[in-house]
Amino acid sequence: MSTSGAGPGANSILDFADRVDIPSIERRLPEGPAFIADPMLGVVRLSAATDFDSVGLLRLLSLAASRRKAGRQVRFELPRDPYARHVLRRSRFAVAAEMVLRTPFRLLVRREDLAYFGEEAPLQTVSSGENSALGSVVSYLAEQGHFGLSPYRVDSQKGLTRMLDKEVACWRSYAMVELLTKVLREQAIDVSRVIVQELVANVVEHPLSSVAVIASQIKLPVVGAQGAGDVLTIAAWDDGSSIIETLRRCLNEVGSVRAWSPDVADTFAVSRTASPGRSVRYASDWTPGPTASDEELLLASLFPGITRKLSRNSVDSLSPAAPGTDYGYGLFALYKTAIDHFGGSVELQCGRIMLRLDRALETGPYRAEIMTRENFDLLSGTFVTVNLPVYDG
Amino acid sequence: MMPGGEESPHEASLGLLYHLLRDKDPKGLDELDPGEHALRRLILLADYAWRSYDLAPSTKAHLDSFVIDALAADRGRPWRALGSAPPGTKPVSTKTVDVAILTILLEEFEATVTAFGALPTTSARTSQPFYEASVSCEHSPEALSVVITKAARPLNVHAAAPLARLREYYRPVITILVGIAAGHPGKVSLGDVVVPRNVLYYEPARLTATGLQLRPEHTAPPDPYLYGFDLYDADAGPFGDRMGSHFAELPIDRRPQIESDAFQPAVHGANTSIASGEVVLRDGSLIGALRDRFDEKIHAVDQESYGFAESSRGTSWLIFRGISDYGDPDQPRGWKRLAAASAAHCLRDFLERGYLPANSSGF
Amino acid sequence: MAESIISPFYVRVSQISSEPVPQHRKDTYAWLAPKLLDSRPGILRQASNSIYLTAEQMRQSPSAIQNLLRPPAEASSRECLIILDLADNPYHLLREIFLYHVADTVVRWLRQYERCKIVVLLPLMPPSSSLFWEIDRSVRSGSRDEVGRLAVLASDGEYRYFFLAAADLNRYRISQMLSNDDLRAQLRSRIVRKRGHYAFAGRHGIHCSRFFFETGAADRQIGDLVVRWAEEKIRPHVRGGRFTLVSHGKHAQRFHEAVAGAAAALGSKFAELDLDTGLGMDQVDGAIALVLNVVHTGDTYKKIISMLREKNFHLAPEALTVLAVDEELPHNYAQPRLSPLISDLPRLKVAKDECEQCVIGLPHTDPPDDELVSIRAFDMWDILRDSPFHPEPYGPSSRLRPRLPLVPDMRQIFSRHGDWIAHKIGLLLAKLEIDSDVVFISPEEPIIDTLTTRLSEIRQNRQIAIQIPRPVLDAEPMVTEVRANRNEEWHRQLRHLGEQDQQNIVLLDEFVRSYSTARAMVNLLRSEEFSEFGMRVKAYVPIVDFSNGSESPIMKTYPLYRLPLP
Repeated sequence: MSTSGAGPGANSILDFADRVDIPSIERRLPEGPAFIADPMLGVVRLSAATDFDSVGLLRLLSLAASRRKAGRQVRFELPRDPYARHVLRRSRFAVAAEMVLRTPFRLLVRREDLAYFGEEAPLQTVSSGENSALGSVVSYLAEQGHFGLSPYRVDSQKGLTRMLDKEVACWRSYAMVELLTKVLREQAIDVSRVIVQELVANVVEHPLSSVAVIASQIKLPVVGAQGAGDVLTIAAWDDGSSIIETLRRCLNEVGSVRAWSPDVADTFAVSRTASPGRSVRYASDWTPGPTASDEELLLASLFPGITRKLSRNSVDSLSPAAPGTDYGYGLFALYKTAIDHFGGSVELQCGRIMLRLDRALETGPYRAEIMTRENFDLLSGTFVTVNLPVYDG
Repeated sequence: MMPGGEESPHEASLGLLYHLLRDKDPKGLDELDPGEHALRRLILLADYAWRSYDLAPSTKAHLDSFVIDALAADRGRPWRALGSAPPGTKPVSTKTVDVAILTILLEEFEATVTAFGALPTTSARTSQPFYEASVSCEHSPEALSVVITKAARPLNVHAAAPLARLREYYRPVITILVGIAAGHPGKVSLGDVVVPRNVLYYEPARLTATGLQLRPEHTAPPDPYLYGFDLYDADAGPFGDRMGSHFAELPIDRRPQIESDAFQPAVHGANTSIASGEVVLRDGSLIGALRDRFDEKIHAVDQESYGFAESSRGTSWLIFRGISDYGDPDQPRGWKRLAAASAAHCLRDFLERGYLPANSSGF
Repeated sequence: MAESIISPFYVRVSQISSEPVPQHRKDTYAWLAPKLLDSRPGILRQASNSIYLTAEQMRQSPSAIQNLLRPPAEASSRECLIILDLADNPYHLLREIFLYHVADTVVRWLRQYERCKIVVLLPLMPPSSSLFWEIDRSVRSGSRDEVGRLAVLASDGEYRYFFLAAADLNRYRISQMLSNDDLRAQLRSRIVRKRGHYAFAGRHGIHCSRFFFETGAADRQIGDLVVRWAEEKIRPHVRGGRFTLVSHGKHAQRFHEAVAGAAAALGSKFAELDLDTGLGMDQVDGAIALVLNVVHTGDTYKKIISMLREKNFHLAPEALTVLAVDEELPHNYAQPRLSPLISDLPRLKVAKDECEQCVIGLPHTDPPDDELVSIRAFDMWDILRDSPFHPEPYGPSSRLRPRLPLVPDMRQIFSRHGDWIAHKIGLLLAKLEIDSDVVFISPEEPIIDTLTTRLSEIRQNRQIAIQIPRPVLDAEPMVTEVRANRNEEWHRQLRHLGEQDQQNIVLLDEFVRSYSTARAMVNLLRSEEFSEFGMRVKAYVPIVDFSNGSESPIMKTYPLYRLPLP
């Protein structure tokens, strides 16, 4: 734990410098369990940060949420760099933090950081990567809040409907569709129609959720130099019961999680980081039984026809009365579109388990890599990330 | 009242008088039937009469004189004269104030003025009283300016007028209703303070074959943290001690009976609702019935909260209610003033220690 | 040989109720059918109303479409052509699961009815990974005959499994597209001319205007028109075809985003110009093609050109403005020629010291921040001055209240100011958080129809209007009249509405006097025919309140203006 040389009784600190993104956060996640459990004040030090990645910020918030769930406080140290603060602002980090941690942002920062409240945006807000034609459009849309973090209260049907309407409206706006038409390899409107709709619909499936956050960002390729990191990322996190927990409960109560068997048989080559070099085949018509592992349940959640909606669990007021052919399609439609249509990938995270799905060849099996990270924080809720490659328009 | 407010009576009156005076010389209205023209002017006059009704007397007198001009054929001032008003007839430009407090009953008004040490203002020329004060605030670099006023009449339907009058003279950042309410005996004690997260209006009814069915309306303060009240800990500050001292200093004949040695009111926020209707409670059964039927979080009932909330829609607002009775025939002596003082002192303590100003810059 | 049966299904998703099939779709079926039947004779059974799924059904039970689609009775015994028309739906609303069920229905019918042909009309062709293409897997694993009896056609002319002649495909594609004129007409219908007291800074000081033009509801139209303009007028005339779209306009975020979208479509750079901060050299590539939101006097335009020239930016030969108001556009041979998309909107500009509102002491209205829902007295009587008053032409039965001797001509008011009134109602609904899936219920009067059409254009939200005939509202007892109207459109729509959990019902009326019409509408919704549905009104919105300030006895009432009649 990075405690900056402090002795016993000092606050526990998670320190970040330079660009705060998923890789830099993942490097620190082994410190996560101690950070969550430490009874002293937990400080997330962003003072040396220079840039932020929205999905990284969301992962940071999910960590802070776990700490809050354990009844412990969190404070953020804001960046010294004005541009970094501007990026944080533009990402709506303050609004999202307030909603996730249920505390006004003023009470989540140091007293001296209150001086940054209400400051004007720095004049130079175009970063070096945004000088292309499409970069200028991305930059403008980011300034208007089209990327970044969008938090929602989802403890009512009204809240869920509002989330769906707002996200669909954002991703089908004229400017967004024209931009994505240029940079995605396929029809841009399918981002709104399938990716966003099914991401949000999946959040609806998680019982006891009160807050959900949608995060998005886009990294355009440098002209003439396409790279693996040039992606559009859309992620959704909520604080409800995770996919694994809800399927496990259904399995325990009803004995099955399969509503019906569609005439589809996708194949998955599943590897585990614990067993490198080995892969096991699963077909999407496989049905997990009571002895299925958590990893298998997470994988099965992608299969068509697998759903928690067989259970009449009284805790879950969203359960319908009876199953049918309307259920268990969301993540299936999501991965088909993300991977087969856009050539991208999907990640699911619950607890300490992360599943990454993509496809090497159009006609081959889907590649599912499952990592169980024992030393990481126990992520509460479910984190779903979709990455779509973008191209030089 | 319309959400987000309405045009001020003064501005509306000016606009109407313009048309009345201009219409006196109806160029372009030559084709108009004289009878229709006359009827139209009558409607315009009626509109003016209705909208100008609540203006300050001197302003109203000045503007009314233009009505005579409008009816005086070729005589009288032209519409341009509307722009030059004698001193004292134009309202002072509205002044921004951090906190505006509305009270209804005289006991509430007096308790609040005393709790804040407020003094009467001389700038507003109106029969509605305005008292001004300032309080320090931990979360604000400057002290908060406060104005306290009183409605002429109780009941939800009459909450709009004093607020409209307040807004003629002040631009409050937040408006707070302070006063007394009847409480649910299982949840609150006399003298406790309730700051509700939800307000229920229980008068709207649906006629059915089986009889009157109550269908309440709901509203809530716009800020989910109640401007910091969610995180305010009344017990961690001087509120309890202040109320204890206040009680001890009351003359014996004004001091209500309490069971314990010292008066220590509790403050209820977080998960509380208040129900609001036009009925003055006297039978003790309504609160329980409302809790059972609509919202088990109802802690108190009053007659003005909903009207206040609706008239404040689109702006920042809160409600502080001290519990003066349990809505039953047994009206305990001496609790009105004390409950009003509880609410007022609690508000003051909250403003000093827990309030996150509604207009404070976000990050 | 017996004639074929042609059976179209006009399908709409995320709708609140069923609606009549539009004539242009009926015409499309009548044109398409002979081509798919190789000109053999057929009996076209046009449906009167749409088949629809509500937003809630699309979320929870999209398989409901399978129960709603019923093949013609003769499908087993006679040649049929079934047209499943989903083309009038926004593509983004067609969820994958829903498309799967449509595909499943198609496959079942192809297998069950061997003499049936099925054509599916879609707004766009779904990607190959779509669950809709279960059709493909099923028909290719079935008999060859099934492939020959199926067709899928998208509105952009893309097709699967069959082909029309190229000319016919082109004709179909063009019939679904919008011409420039259509786009301009749509743009015009979405502009809101707001009344108020607006201040503008000009070369000769502050001047005031009665109107502010809001273009936010027309972002798509603006974006598409900017793209067409740039391709025709800018790209051929700048070096290397390189240019940067630079937008300028105050309080017009959606306008700027529309231009940003156009820049993306054109592959050009984009920048929003703020006169205070200017433009950096690194923000511009090639010539600057200026796009403005509104041009009034042209002073700001001249200032912009001067500023850009001082910084040595190269300007495209033409600039574009969405709106130009009454004065002639500035034309100086040293400046890019300024073209407007819409140019005949009056503004009524006056110098500040001649402005009546300034003289009498009315404050300026701040367009985005200070907007009242209700109408100011000055504006209301400005409108009423130009409208005749006449005896009330229609209303509740004289049994309920006498007709008013003098009321404003609401038809003229709505026709001249309907956009602004619709905007105000939209603002009210947004403030009340009633802003999607709204059902407007009103008496069947022609003026309200005009208003709800404008509402639909400006709000671009899902909404429906149900109009109740006067004789029903005036009937005593109402129940008999309501039952007698069971087959009427409005009755059917109300029944459909009642079956849904979430209803945002708003009563709309020209004006209120005695609340008798409102009371009748509420009693209708509570009548035996509909009482089981528990329909509840969220708000009553009469445009003008003539009720002399009496409190509404029924529900919350939000008139845009209160006008007590003496």
